[in-house]
Amino acid sequence: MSSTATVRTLTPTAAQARRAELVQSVGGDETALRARAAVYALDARELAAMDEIDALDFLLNGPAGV
Amino acid sequence: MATLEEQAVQFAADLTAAVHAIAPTCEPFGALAMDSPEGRFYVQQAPDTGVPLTVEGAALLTLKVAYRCTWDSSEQFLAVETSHVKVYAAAQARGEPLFRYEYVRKAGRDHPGAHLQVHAHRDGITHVMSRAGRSTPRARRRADDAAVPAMSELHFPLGGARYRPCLEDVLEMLVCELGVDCPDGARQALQDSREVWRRQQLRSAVRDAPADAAETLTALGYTVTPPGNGVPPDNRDRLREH
Repeated sequence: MSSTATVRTLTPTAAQARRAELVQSVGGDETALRARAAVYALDARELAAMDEIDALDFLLNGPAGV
Repeated sequence: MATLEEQAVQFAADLTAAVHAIAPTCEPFGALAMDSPEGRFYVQQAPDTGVPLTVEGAALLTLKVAYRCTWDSSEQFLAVETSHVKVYAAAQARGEPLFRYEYVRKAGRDHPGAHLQVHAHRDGITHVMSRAGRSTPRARRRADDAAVPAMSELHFPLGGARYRPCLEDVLEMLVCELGVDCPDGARQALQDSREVWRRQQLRSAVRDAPADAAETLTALGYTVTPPGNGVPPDNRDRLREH
């Protein structure tokens, strides 16, 4: 296993595409996903997707976008 | 001056080294950056479902760590906009964490920037929270919410931007308090890494109150000469923040 940290750089277009892909991967209904996140009802895969969606929102829009 | 990408890689490597102290086989942290003038990136643990932590060989806890960063105002150093360190009671992070350490650089007045939230239940806390009145926005929101208040809604302050705990503090707590397995030398590695963090924070704290720093150095016998263009002003917002 590599012990080297890596950085991947996204364009805004690629970030938007990845975001859409993540939403689709957990059922396609972001509002429902966020409602379940608010009551801590996400499984491991959904929680990982939610975290990445929030991180992409930060990359796209800054702190105010999260 | 290091580029944002170089700083992101270094930051991810530092976080990886800290977690490797107690989970030596965990994958390295990864950074994702946005190709934009604002220079934003985030760093998080791998795998994305969290780093499993073992107690006596059994995967009992999971750690999730993420930092969202930008350039600071000088555009020379990275600034952490938000961070979280969350601990879950399972081999993968799901549902509700046990507790979480969080930091929000621009938190406003609603809650402390650096804070701890504990996901536990105690009737006494619930009772007190339900009688918190309406004198603050948070109390009003709670009063207007039909749900029973949860202890996890409380933000326990942790010293603001400069004096907040670092990742190493949480990791060492997991070893000391919860018996998380770690190799020989782990605590030494965490202490070494913590020292780096605290020296870095100390330098930032000096910039918040340079006259106080000069006074302390003078008391220690140093000769301190103020800059020709005057003593830089204190960063009172940082000194007074919740």
